[in-house]
Amino acid sequence: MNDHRDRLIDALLHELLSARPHVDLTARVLRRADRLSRRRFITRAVALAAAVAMALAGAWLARSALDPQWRPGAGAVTDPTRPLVIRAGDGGGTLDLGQRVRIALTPGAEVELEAGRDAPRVRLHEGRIEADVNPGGAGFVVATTAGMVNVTGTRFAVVAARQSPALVVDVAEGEVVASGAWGEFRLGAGQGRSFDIDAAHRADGVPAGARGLSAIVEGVVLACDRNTGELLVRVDAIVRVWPHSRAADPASVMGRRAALLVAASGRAEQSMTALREIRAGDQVRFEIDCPDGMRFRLGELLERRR
Amino acid sequence: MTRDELHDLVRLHQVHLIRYLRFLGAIGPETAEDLAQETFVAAFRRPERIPADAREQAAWLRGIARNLFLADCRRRRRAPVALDEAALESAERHWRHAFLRDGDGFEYLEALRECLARLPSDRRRLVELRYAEGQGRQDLAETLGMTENGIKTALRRVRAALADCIESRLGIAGSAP
Repeated sequence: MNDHRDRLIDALLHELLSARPHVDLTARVLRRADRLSRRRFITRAVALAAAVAMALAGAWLARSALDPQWRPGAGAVTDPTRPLVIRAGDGGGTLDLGQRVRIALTPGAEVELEAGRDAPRVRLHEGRIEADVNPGGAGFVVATTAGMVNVTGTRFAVVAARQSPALVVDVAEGEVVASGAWGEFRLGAGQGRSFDIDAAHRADGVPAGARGLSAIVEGVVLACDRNTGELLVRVDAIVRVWPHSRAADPASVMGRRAALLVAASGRAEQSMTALREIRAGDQVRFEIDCPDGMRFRLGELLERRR
Repeated sequence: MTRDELHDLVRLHQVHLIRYLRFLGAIGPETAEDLAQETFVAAFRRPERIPADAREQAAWLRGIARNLFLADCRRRRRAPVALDEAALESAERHWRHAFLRDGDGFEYLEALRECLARLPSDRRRLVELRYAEGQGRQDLAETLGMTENGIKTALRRVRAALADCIESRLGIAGSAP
């Protein structure tokens, strides 16, 4: 108590009698406050920038990280040197990419996970995959040597062969966009098409010497459009020319790209059925004719080798 | 908190706060001023905690000042008295009970001036040499022909006499609650 009294009087005597003028702290405090405000602003700006960067990075990672869940069937092959490559064994397998994309790999199919900028993406090295993509997400991309297929929400299948310029797409639901050297095609539900880099070229016209031809030929399928019922075949050999053929020079179809139209004949249904199984790259033997001299018609598919 | 609001806060409380810090035992005016400045900066960092009422503001600022003073003493390893939170709380109670009776200490200061004027001339000279001219104990001892301990005792007695005079005038009785 006495200490407090003594120090109170001491402090007040200093204040009352000292020649030292009162100091105004206002300017000093305001300078400090200004520095603090600037530091606070910079800290907040840096924190905001960091938060934005984190959010962007998170969004990018969320988009690009496919979060693959691989449920292999029997005989699946993994290669530790290529951890992003998945190859289905004899039992096939199912691959989930996040919540929206499920891919069924048929036996022997091989895919590689790739970081897509926007949508989940896989590269199909070979084989057939069937993808089920729920709508509402960023979509899904299947890339192959021959081109790529973009979807936003659909169920579809893609077939590719290693180093092959051909690509086959079958759409069960929704819509896909297939793009490659041949251009860009939009396929709807129930549509399927085989794409081939060579198919970018138009089919050669019917040579004059082949008008009225009726024959069995062999060749390689370059492209197949099951919507239009058109098949593009490079004719490599003439197996047999029927006696009723009116073609002046049957051999003129050799080496030509022949556009074959499935004829609306009694065998059309059989041909359409056959067409569903044809893939680009197939070796085929079939009957053709050219009754109007304008285009070839597909007759019976006699043989198909893959 | 805007600059204007901070400006007003400093203008309103700075004199009291420096005085309070000297009462707590801040050595020299610069230390008291520096601690008062830090008190306002601390307040600026927490503007949401500043009370609206001026008296509550003063009490809140004194609380910050006490903490800063205690930390400063510990940092400098220099305590004017046996210093701890309890001692500072006791000092705060005396400040409120004796000095802030009227709310701002004006009456106490006026009473001090009057009591100072009534001091006998020898005591008044001792006070002026010490507080107006700022002489230390050694100088005072040489000037007045006394020992340093004698100066220390004489100054303590003068301050006690002034406190008695003030408390008598203001009717301050007993110790702080």
